[in-house]
Amino acid sequence: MIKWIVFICFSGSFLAFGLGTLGLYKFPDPYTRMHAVGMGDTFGVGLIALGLFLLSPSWVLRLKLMVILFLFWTINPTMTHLVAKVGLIHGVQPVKNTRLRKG
Amino acid sequence: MVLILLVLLRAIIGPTVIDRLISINAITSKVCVIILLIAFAGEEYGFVDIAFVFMLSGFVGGLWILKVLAPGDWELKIPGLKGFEGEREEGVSHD
Repeated sequence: MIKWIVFICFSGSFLAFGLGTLGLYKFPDPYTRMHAVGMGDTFGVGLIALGLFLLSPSWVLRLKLMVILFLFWTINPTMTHLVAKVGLIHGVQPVKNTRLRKG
Repeated sequence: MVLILLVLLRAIIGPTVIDRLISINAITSKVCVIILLIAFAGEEYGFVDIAFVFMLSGFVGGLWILKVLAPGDWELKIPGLKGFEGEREEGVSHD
């Protein structure tokens, strides 16, 4: 039973990583690509950590996995936000006909 | 592992700096996941700490690159975002 749940988790995470990479190629704009990669990576790492959480033999490992998951889920959106902000400062143009607003 | 190569190709052909940065972030997260899977496949659970440190060092490296890219302060220097609208008026009819 647990094996099938872990298999579904790993397949879902691989699907999420693949969709993020597909979005990295299909979108026309650095900001939209950033959106796709952020979503895919966050979901994929979450599912991988869930599967390994079910597989792990001791509670110390589960605690380490939870710390990794928490730090990744705080760090990755922060990183995406900072990259978008520095891109706007640096002068990377969005795609045409984009409505920008401040804040 | 195939996805790492694809993302690396985007990092090579990416037209702007931001593409390369987000590709490096994606490669970091994928390598972290692969280290976790190796740790659980070979039953060497010390690799979990290695994945942890790898993720944190990738974050710090990305922050350093961002600090090099940003000129001076960290605040937005586009009042009302007029710099974008002024240059966009040439090709508006792009439906």
